[in-house]
Amino acid sequence: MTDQDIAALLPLKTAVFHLLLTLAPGQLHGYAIMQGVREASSGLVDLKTGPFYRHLKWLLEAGLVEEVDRPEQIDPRRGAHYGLTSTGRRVLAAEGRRLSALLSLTRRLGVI
Amino acid sequence: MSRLAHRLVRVLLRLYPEDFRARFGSGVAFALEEEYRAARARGALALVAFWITTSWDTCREGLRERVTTRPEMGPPHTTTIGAPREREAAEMIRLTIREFWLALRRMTKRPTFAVAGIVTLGLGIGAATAIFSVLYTVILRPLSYGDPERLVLVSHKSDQIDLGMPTGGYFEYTSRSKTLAELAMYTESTTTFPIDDEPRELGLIRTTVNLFDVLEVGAARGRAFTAEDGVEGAAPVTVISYGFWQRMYGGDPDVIGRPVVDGSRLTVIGVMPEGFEFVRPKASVVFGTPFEAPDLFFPLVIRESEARFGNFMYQGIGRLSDEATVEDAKTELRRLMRDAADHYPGGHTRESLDEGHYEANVETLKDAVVGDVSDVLWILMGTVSIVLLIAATNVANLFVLRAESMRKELAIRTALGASRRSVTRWFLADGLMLSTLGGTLGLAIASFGTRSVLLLAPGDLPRIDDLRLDPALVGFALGVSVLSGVLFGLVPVLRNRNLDSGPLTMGGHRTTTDADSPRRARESLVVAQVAFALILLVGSGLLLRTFASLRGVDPGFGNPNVITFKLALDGNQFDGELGRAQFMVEVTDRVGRLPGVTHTGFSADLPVDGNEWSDAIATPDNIPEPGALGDNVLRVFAGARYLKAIGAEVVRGREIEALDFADFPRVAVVNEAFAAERWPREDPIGQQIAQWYDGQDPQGDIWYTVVGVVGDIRERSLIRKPEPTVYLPTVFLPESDFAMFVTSQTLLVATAGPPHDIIAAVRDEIRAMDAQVLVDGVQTLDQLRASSMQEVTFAMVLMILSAAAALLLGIVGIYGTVAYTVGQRTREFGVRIALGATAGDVRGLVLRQGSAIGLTGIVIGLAGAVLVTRVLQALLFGVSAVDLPTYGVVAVGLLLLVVGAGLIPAQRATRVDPVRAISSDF
Repeated sequence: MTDQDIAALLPLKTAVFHLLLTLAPGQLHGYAIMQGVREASSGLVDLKTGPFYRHLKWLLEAGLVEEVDRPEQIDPRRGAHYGLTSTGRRVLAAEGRRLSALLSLTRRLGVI
Repeated sequence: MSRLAHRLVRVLLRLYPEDFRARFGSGVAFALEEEYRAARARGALALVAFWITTSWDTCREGLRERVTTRPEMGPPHTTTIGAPREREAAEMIRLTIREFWLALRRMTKRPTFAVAGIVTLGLGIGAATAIFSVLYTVILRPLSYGDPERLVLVSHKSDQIDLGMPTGGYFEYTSRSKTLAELAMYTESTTTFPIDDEPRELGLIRTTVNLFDVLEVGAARGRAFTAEDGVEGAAPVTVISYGFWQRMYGGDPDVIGRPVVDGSRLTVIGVMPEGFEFVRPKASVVFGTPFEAPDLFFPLVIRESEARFGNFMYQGIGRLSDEATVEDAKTELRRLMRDAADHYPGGHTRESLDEGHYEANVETLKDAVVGDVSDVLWILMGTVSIVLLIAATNVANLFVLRAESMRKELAIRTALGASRRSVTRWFLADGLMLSTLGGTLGLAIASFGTRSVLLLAPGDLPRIDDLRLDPALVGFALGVSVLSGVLFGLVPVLRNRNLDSGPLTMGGHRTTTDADSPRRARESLVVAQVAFALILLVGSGLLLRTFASLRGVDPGFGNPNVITFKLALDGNQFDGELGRAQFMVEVTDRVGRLPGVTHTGFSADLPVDGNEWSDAIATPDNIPEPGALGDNVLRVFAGARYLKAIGAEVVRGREIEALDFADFPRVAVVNEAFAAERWPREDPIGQQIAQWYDGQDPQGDIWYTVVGVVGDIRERSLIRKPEPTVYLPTVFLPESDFAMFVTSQTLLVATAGPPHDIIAAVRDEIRAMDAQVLVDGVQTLDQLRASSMQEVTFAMVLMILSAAAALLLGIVGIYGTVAYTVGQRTREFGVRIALGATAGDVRGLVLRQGSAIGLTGIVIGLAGAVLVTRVLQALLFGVSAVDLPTYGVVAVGLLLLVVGAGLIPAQRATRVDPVRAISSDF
């Protein structure tokens, strides 16, 4: 995926961004990702099951997230485990850079 | 997690398409279950919130997932990338859901409007669906045989009498007809038989072996009949029904090839399939009591050498050959019938056929089965359609009223740029929302209604046992709902065509009332309602009067406390005919000595049960010519003291007594009509009569001496006038062809107190005499009378219910219209009162409006009723279809109600405060 392709995906929806962020430290199963999003955003992003899986499906199809092997000790009823792909990491980083650029601009203009 | 919650989650998951479920199903389920657990920990309210949001969420996402099955190419927030058609579909679904959501919110803001509309529509749709399901089950549903449209009933008729098939006709048509591919012939009879020591009446069919081939139905187990089974001297075999197999053998698969009961020569060779019903028209002749579903089938063996064209006691069912129509077959059989008289002598001749206007008749099996009841059902269908129409008009009226009260709002919306399309969509959503809810309520009413119909329906309504809410009917109800919803939505849109004229319509307050044309439209709707209500009320009134006249009919027997017991005398313990007669005489005596019993008697036939035979009756000076069949009169096989037991009046001489049965009795009783016809100027007592069969020897031992004359009794049914009738001593026929069929006799017990109290004592007495005799058919004469009126009762109850619904809806309609107009004219009334009009003036003004609407509706309704009630003619008894008192009472009563409906709004109009009314506009 070229940098141009990645730029075309930006900006990411808040929920999608948080979803990718939650996966950044490591692989998780679906419900754990949802919990992670809620905790990391201090409840600001209340991701419901339905929309969460819609986003997840898109991320899988776009190749930003992939299904990975489940660790032995985890109950299989929890569903599949997911992790970031390298593209996913690049998109996440690009979005992070975009936001940080916006933030510094805001600061420079004395807005905050 | 509770099992129910678990299951609910599984159900919700099904909203997603399958590939999505395969991929994410366990993850989604786990997440939902975790959230459920968390919600449960927070309490009941959180749990409710969880289910609502989760259901909504899953519905939306599942739907979206189904619409956009192909992967989206862009990120979820963009609208630029992606397959445009799918995006459009998703957008449309979103908009539609939103539109309905808004409609629901508008509805909750005006709960009265919503409840009135939903209940009105629900009643209408519910009633129509319930009746339509009866109509569908009984009439429209095809028979469950192979190619059922080609099945025909082959019968005969002479001067207005319906006849079955003679043996000669069967052989003639089978061998020479080209229009019939095949023809089967059968007879019906009953016998009483113990199952688990309980006497059960079994229905038997004796049929030519090809019956199942004609119907194109095979046995589920074992085999159906083959040609060998119908050959003389073949081993006796039987095919049993699925129901009998279950009841008698508990569904034992080994029953095939075994005797019916141990030690019997009769072998079971086959079991019919579970759903098989032998649908057939009411047989012209049944040996025993008519029955709905047969239990056993036997091969009918007839020798062609003995066939003749007379005695039409069989039923013929045929299958048309490929190209032939019913008319072709009728024409051909009418021609063949006259040849049959030549080919099979001993019965009718060509001349006697012509003389009696005999004709072969062919009709489709379905017409033959449902012909009698279809009229009644179509009338009912018409009735409930009217109710549905009234309901729909009322709801349409509600929408019109509401649209008008929203003119200002609409005008503002249009002025602010709402397109005509969006306004239309808005109204359509309202209409569909309301009609869908109404339809749902209607389905609930219908499912309750069909169950009530089953309880009410006459026992002989064919195929009614299969009545249930068919998917096709649910479709019917939903179709009606959607259609009416679209109409309701469109009415206000069409009514507000001038919306585009924008601000002009904003000037809501005109000086007098609203424009004339909407008012007229609304009023004509109410006029129609009043007219429909009147038609239904007149119909109910006529049926009510029919019911009353039937109750008032003097059947010719008066004893109210009579109970009957049917005794099966087919055991081997009886010494022939005389033994059976002696047994009945003795039972009658012994039961007669029980305390509380006033009279006892016995008989083979019962009054008003429609199960009588006609015979040619000869007198010595009126013996039919050889070959002629003589005049048929009703013949009742009576036992000892039958007339006294039912409370009939013996006007001359005596009735048949127990002593007569000491030997073969040679005495008879005739009714007054018969005596007046045969012996207008002579004393009937001492005259000779005989049952006449062609070829009998008048010198032989055939004559009965008339010993008494009885008042006329309605033997056939309450509706049929008494006809000339002879009462012959009942025969027990042990050795004849149909020995197994005519072995039941009915014991009649008249009591001083309530007849039901005596049942146990009578049963004990019979058991004490002979424990093997089975007792069945315990019912009172009153029950017998009631069942004779069942068809009228059924139609009457349904029509009264529809009329009540129509009346209620009509009055609500009038009230609504008048009240609405009063509201619109508040300012006018204020001005009038300010100018000196009295309360009486204003009240009169309002009442006049209501009465004018009512009167117009009543006049139109009266004209309609004259036309419509004509179809009821067949059901009416003792009252004319244009019965003036009924019309008068209904018209006046309805007028009073209509005026009454206007009273409340009229009263309100008189209380208008002129100052506030006039100033409220500014």
